[in-house]
Amino acid sequence: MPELLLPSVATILTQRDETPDVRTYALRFRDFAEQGRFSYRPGQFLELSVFGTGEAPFCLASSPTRPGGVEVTVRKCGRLTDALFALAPGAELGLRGPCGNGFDVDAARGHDLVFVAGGIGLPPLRSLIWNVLDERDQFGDITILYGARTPADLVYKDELREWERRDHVTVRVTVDRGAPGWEGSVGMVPTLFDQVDLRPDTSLAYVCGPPIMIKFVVKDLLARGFAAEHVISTLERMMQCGVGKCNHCCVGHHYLCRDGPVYNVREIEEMWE
Amino acid sequence: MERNAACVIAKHDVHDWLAHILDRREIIAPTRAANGDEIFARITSPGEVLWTFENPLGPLKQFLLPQTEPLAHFKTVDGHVAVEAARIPAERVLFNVRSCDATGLAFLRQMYARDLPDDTVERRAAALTVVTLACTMPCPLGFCPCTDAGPFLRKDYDLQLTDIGTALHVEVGTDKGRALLDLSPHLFRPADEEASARRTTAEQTALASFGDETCHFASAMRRISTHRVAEGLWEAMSPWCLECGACTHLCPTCYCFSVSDAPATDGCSTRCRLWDSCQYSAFTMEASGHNPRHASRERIKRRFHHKVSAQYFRRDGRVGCVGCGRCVKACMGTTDMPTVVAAIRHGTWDGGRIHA
Amino acid sequence: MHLRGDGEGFLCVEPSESHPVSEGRLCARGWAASDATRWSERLLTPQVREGGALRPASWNEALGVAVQALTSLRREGRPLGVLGSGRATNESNFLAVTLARSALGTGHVDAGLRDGYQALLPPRLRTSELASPDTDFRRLEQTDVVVLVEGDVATTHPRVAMAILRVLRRGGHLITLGRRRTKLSRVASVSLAMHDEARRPILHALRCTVIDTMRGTYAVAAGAAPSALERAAALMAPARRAAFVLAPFDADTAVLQATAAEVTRFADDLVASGAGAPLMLPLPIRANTRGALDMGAVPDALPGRFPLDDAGARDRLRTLWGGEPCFTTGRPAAEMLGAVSGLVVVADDPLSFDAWPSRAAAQLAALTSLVVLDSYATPTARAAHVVLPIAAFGEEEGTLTNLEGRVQRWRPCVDPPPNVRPAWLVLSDLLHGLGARFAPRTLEAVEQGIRTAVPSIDAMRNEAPVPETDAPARDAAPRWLLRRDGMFDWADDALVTASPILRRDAASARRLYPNGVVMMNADDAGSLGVREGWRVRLHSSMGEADVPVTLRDELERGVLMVPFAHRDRLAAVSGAAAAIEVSVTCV
Repeated sequence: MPELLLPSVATILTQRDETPDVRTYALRFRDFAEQGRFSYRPGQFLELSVFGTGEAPFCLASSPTRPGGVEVTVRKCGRLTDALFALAPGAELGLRGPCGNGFDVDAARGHDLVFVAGGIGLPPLRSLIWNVLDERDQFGDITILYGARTPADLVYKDELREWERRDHVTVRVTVDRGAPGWEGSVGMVPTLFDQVDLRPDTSLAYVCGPPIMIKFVVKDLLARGFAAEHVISTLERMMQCGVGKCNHCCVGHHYLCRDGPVYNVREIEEMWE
Repeated sequence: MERNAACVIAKHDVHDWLAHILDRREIIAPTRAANGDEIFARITSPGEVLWTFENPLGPLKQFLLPQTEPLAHFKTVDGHVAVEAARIPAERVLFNVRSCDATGLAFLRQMYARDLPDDTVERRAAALTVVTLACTMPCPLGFCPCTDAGPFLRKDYDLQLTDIGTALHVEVGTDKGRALLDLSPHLFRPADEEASARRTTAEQTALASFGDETCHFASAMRRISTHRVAEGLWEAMSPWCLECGACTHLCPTCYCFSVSDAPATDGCSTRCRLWDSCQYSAFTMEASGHNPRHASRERIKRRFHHKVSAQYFRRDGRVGCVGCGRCVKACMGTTDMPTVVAAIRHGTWDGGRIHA
Repeated sequence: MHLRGDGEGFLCVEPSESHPVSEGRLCARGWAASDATRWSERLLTPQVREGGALRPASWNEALGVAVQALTSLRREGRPLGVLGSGRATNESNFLAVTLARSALGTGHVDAGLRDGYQALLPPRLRTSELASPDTDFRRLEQTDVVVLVEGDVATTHPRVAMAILRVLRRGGHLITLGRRRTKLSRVASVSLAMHDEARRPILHALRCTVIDTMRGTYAVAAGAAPSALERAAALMAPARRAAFVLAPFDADTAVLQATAAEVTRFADDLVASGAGAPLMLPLPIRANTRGALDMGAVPDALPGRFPLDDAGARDRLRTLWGGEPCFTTGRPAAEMLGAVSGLVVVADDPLSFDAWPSRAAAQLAALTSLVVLDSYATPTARAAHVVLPIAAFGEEEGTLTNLEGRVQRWRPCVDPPPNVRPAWLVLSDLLHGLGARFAPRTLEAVEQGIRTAVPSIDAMRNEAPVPETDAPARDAAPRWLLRRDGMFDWADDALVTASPILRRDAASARRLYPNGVVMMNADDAGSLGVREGWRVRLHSSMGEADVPVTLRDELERGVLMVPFAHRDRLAAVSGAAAAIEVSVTCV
């Protein structure tokens, strides 16, 4: 029987550079049966081990509607990711999970959906976006708003274009600082709200990104008439064990790695330490 | 004789019993270190066990949750990684454990078993037999009656010994405890009425010796749980915490940890669980450098929220304190449990000043 | 402190209740003391440099290469040096000194970070009177007023901070003089902020105010609220016994000596005015800096802190070491790297404390022969010609002298890795190879040697305690001062870098700002229009550099601080200077 904190071995299938320091990995459990058993929800995360270096949580960026492997999108920002970036396709690493509550996909059925992402906050939403697009008929209109610091920091550039070509999908992208060749919007993410038709009564909004961006976006959405229950976000804390034991990620008595990281804004407002 | 009925063993027979146990198991007991300190350590002969001692400062929890605990070894064989669970130490008897520590071990076990059970800890716990020595006298800094963790136990022991004069009264909590008696059945006889009465008197005397002074957890818990502790109070306390981490390292109920891989030697690396402390600033620091508990006051607040709030009390069924008094002894400043609880109750902080 | 092994090489730590220093307490680094053996990159086998790279070698080969290189350099008359260390035991330091003055015939012997500590020693402790009660923690705890000069002692020396908190708990007072708000300045009765160059004037002003108050000659302006200085003086004047705690700070030796001199005058004046003799407690940065100093790892004194020309000390060393040892003054650590051709480094990494690491690295690279004894693969060890792996903490026996002057014995609790030897034994092998007469084969023999050279060492031995007998108005700074942060660097402390638990914050700071950072007061940043992470350009008489800013509200306005770990990134602006005037512009 696998122990709670023991990783399973997985193999890097492919890797794709999104930006100079962000990379998407496709991974598959080495054990075929284990890959077959592995099921997850968008918004859940994996504990990824680089053997001999350590373990850290990364959200699943792929959709459970596409079995056969999982994808994670990783920004190089520390010892573990340095070691990860040094691996090549075919290398083995450890996976443990899925961890966390994830997005409630069933509750979203029948709604219009607004996705608001900042920077490296797009990967968890990408999981949900593909899930929704793969079950297209069960959801209403889709609006995807995405902001990054510079055009070079945008991830999934090809997929953004692909999503835009779909019916009843609106995609808007902005950057904080423009660059030569950039002809899109410049400004923070909330500036995109005026460019699209927001329908607070029928929509659920999913917000993911840096804490400061979440703060402003949520405030704006509430001001535009979204109910707090209908704005869903993820909370960020330093996570370690992913199974609600180590206490790093507590907010009050909530364990973000176990009870979260997905909460609606009503729940977030009621949390305190 | 009823299988788990109480019995007694004459004090002059105890060494024989310990010798029988030592033939088969490792015994960890309070003993005297080379420099005179009383510590928990492996003993090699019955005479090394202390029977009159202050509870050792070093935490007993290290025999359930070592400061550095190997979880798994990663070996590379023919280009592939093999993940091997670390081995669990052989069966051990923790002997002359104090009631507070036995309660602490049970609490830790409960924390790791709740929700998603941690099988490593469970297997370590299963390999331990806990023999307690009920406290017939309060220890200088203990306040276990306030935390329902002593001086005598109702549960959470395998065997509970009580000194009743010329003999030890033995209560059997579990089959694991019973198995220790079965190693030397000829040394034990059923507890008669007099022995039981002496045991009851010992408990009443012990309780009475604590006096009426209590730690007032309930009142502190009300304030913490309803957010009625002024931020300024935590702020005022914070310079008096030198962030050594001793309170968390020595606390029988603290179980925060981190996981880290020890560098590879010979192509084999080891993943370890290490004690961590919520009082260290980097405990909550995120990869971005953002730290939601950057200020020391936030961390102190967190510690007492976890230990003394209704939210956790409802979840765990008890406060995260067993009243052992180790934090009082080990705190480099004055932010130990009783001092902080008193400050919360009074709403003021005086730095634990000694008033003449 | 008790260390235990668990059979798998993992150690755990417990405080000792009965030990007079720890009294059942351990600081964060104490709790992590066992991590280094496991979590650091260990040196596991002797190595010699061949064709530009280090390769494993046998002990015989490595020792032979070292001995031969040192012998031929000495024969050619080229300068040689030895660095002892505040990280090594007394025994290793004594043998390092033996190696220098006896076997290599050089006065170039020192221990890193020794000079800053020594400069702050009160006169009584600068002599061979090693067992002075002035530095006893218990006596510190019994004082009425503590004057703490500089530094964040709660972080650097928690045991001393604990003693100061005990003074406060007993109703005593704390006066802090410092550049930044710290835990202790927040509980101080009076906290005097001081600018870098104003350290002496503030101490001077405090001294004058206190002494005048004691003599009744201080005129208080009628009706005015007392100034911070006056409040401090009101606390100090009636005190029976005061203590001066001098935390390590990063400044030129002259500044340190001037500060120590001012404190000494202060102490003399207090005595002359009828108060008890104050305690004076300078704090070393490394655990055994005091021991290294006492053992003679210093260029201008002999073991036992005897002057180089002390006839008695010379005779004892001649008897012990044989022949005519070198009694000349050598170069201090900071100058040694650039001044010698061959260097033996015992358990230290000069690159971690040198004020200008890139220059130091170049100097190390230019050495004809660098012999490094260490447990860990430090940058210095990687630059060595010969690497000799030595036992780590918990693996060898020896003594350390704490800052109180207690000689404390450490006993091993696990075996060193198979091909690793205790430092004292390796040094003894080197001495033997170099033909020295004093090349002791047992630890007892080393200690007997120390007793001969430092007769007062037994009086220092351990566990028995030594017996009892608002800032001045500052206008907005007209210019910027760029300072290095204190030399105690959390991120470079071996116990921190080795501990997976403790190294996190320091590692993060370096990761976030791999190319350096300066800390700036938030108000200053506001007036410059700069935010966290933005870049500014610093311009000094030496040069200029662009560097990102991180905001720290505990800093004084007008002061920019470079974390010690990032000093080399700003070498273009500051060189090796501890403080330099700069102009600041937004980029």
